[in-house]
Amino acid sequence: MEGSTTYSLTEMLTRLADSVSFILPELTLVGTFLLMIILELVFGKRNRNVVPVAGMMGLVLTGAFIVAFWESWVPSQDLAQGPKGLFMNMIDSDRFSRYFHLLFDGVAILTILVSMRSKQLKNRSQGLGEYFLVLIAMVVGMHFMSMATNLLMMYLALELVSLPSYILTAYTRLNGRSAEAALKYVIFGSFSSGVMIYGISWLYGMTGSLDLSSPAYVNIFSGETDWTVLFIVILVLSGFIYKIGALPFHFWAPDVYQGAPYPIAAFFMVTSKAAGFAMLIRFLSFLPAEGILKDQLVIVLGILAIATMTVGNIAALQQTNFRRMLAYSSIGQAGFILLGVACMTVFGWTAAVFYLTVYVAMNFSSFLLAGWLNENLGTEEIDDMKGLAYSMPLLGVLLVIFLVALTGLPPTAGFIAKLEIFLSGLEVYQSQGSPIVLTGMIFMVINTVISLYYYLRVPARMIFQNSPAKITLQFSGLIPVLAMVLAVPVLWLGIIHFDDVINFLDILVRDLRG
Amino acid sequence: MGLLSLLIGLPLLGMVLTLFTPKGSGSVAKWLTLGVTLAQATLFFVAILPAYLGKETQEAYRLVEHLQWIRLNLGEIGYLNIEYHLALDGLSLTMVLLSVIIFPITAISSFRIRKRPKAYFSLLLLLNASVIGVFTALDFFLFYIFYELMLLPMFFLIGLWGGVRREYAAIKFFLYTLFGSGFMLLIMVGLAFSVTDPELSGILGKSVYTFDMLHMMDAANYVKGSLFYFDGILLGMGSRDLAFLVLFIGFAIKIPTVPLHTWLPDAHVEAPTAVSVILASLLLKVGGYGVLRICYGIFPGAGIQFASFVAVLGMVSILYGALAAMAQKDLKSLIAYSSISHMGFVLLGIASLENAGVNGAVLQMFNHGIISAALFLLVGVLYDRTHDRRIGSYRGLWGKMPRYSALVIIAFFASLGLPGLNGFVSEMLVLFGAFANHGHFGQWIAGLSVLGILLGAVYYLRTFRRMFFGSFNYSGEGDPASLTDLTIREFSMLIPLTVLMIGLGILPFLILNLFDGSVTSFTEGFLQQAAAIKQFIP
Repeated sequence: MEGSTTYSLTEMLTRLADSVSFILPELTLVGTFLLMIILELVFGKRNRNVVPVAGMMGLVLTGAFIVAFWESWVPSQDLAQGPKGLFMNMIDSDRFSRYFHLLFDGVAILTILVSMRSKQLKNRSQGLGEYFLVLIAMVVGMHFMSMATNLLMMYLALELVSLPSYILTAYTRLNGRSAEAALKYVIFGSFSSGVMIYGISWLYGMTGSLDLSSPAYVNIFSGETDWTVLFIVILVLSGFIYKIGALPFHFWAPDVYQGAPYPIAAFFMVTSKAAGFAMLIRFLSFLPAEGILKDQLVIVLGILAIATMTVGNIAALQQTNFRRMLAYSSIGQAGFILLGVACMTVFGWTAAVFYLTVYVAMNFSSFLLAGWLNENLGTEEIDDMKGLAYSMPLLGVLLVIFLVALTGLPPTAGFIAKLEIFLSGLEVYQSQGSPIVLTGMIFMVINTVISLYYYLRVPARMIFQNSPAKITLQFSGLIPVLAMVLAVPVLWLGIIHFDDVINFLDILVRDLRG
Repeated sequence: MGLLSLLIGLPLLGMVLTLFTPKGSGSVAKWLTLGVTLAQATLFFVAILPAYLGKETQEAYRLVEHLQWIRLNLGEIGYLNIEYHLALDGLSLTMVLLSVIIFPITAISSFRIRKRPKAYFSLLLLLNASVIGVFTALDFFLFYIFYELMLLPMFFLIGLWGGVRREYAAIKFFLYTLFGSGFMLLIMVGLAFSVTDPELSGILGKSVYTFDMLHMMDAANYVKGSLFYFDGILLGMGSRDLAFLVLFIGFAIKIPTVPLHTWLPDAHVEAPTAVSVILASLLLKVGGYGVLRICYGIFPGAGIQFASFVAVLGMVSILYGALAAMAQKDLKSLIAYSSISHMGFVLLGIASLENAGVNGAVLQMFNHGIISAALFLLVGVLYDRTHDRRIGSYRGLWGKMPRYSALVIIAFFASLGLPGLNGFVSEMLVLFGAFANHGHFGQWIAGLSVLGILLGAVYYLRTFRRMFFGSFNYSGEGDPASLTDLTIREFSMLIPLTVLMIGLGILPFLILNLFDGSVTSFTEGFLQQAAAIKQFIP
């Protein structure tokens, strides 16, 4: 029923007109973007706060629209009516994507708030007007990334996220690290998106369509053992893999997370990874349930997951810089999430989305805390953090909570996230007996133990050792408050009500096609 | 709120109160902690123990608290259920009894903590709550949460208030335990997907997978074709055998069993006295408790199959621990190694699967809890005075500290198994069981284990002679004048323990009666279960 039905011109026009109403949130964002350009021209030099405040209000409005019209994102039986297959099967604005949009918008609001207060950004750049503009453009790209059902749309959305990322990474270009990171980012980004579009061109050649829901795709995806299709799909996947920072396209991640201005690095670390995963899951949801390709991809993604988590964690083990350690550990986390995705079941994807949600809270806040340390203490070296917990007990407590959550120990949401991945993995193993998922879980346990070692080093330095010099720093300001607020769900969802959240996400994932 | 929840809730409440005491009021924190632990003990002796013993009905698990907690909807697969399920049987009752005796003593022992007392006592109370939680939880998920929750306060207690190499010891302790419990998590999840709750499945109309241990112990609840069904294969061996081994390793790290013991001497040597006491008397018991309740309780078939493996590990621990103890120059690490040796008896007793042996193992856990607490406190007494624990530094302490010496010799004799003191009873029971085991393992294992008692006598008596006999001489760096006899505070900790050592040596049935019924039904039920499982195996 879906896909390549050819519409008459009138039908097409009505459908297009109908579709517009379904992207009201995105239109709001684009409107905000345009408004911000004008505001920048008018107020840019006189009042630095006008543009970011406008951006935040736009984001709040977007989020409000998403929540207010929640019922309209529920897919209807008739594909021509509901939020699916918009703009001639370009995007699906279903609840799955809308949930991600709320995450992106929320994190973007916090990022703007933090950026407005950041001394580092102010000192090392010339004006922040474009900074906020580009940030909003990036959020628009992420919105479309999680909605795209057409390969071209996926590529465009990916680039719409990548290009602003390069600019933002280089924003403090007076800082050598920032410029170096941006260059690495560009090179890896262009390479992997080149590989991706090469794969897309192959798929287009084979099917004559870029629309993933067209029957031609079902045909080639469910065909008998065909290594070419697998190879081409892997080429396409490289674009996603680059965005989520998994092996073998992970080399940009540590440099970018360390080199970019810290608010923006924290933003990338959580949102562009989440957007990449959203797009990956949506792509995989188009694979037909039968057919060898799905089983092959379980193996490919499973191997990638194992490699990613192991390499990320072992590299993190050797880091002495707190931010760089978090950067490598986020590669490790991506491996864990990828294992959930590799299960190729609703259960596994739910686990991955839950993990991503928790990941957003715990990584964003621990990264901001690292940034706060950098800005106020002038260093991020773990060895320089000796005895910090004595002068700032709250910082110690918060870091312990977030690092314990990142390790995945109870009673934090990080534990529940890992447990979910285990549950979905074992379910797959039990029903389909795929050894790669089992191996992945065993590696996950080993990696958790490895990660404990480097995560614990931070509180151990802060709490077990005395500081060589007297520190008279006040742990106050915006970031401590944000971290405290984000610690609440991290603890809360570790003990109760996580079943409600997971059951809710389960419904969202079932909105996907396939 | 049930009595058991109250028992867990009290220290948590105390922790919150401690955190909110004003700055610089360390003495409030310590009195509050002592008050809370005494209230806990009172609650136990006044309400819980009579309620447990007074039950007319003879159900195995009493004072049950059963609440729905988490229900995950898995779509077409069914539901996954997690419950807040607490109850006591004889085994957990004994362990909780031990805990409520030990915790007030550790509170008193911590009175001289000067460094950040508020943080110290809050962590102590958090540890208290999680230990009681582990011993009472009957839902595997809940058990696991409490099990992991013990690690963090322990990590900070060792790392912050410990000796010179405290950071190393704390991280080593954490890594070892997490290595075991990480794999335990995998098995737990697999079990949850293999076991359904028959009642709830009936009510909800879909299969309800459960974390409830009682359901996991019943062969009838296993789903045919599931991972831990009786014919399951995992990584080339029987899935249930593998699960048993993985869980066993997890708990063996905790007990600790040779060769997984190397974290223990480090942790003990670096930890402050009170933390050593908790570690030796309670946390090690969590290992033994886990082996009995979870490994053997859920996988009886594998328990029989691996009986000789477990017994050999027990024997090796007994002998290796004793030999290593003989070589120690530090009094605290001597006692740490002797702990390894004595916990080996617990494994040996469990492996015998014989009534006397298992009873002996449980009694040995209780007795070792009492004796090792006393021993670590006694080491702490010396360390407080001179900051020197080397055996070779001291000579002729008897003349200088007669009351101290008297208590030391009682504790030493209790530990080495002198008849009339409590250690003897449990070790004898274990050895009876080990010799009489129903052909599960060779009797030579039991025979060699007897040597452990002999070696124990050697290192304890030699140490005692070196340190206490002869004319007084102190050759360490501390101040010899500080070597004064016990204070009232120290007496108040040691006297109850000494009374228990002597009392339970003469009247062991006081404790044995608490769990004898449970253990008997456990060993009988175990063999029945194992027989019942046989019929499921093709």
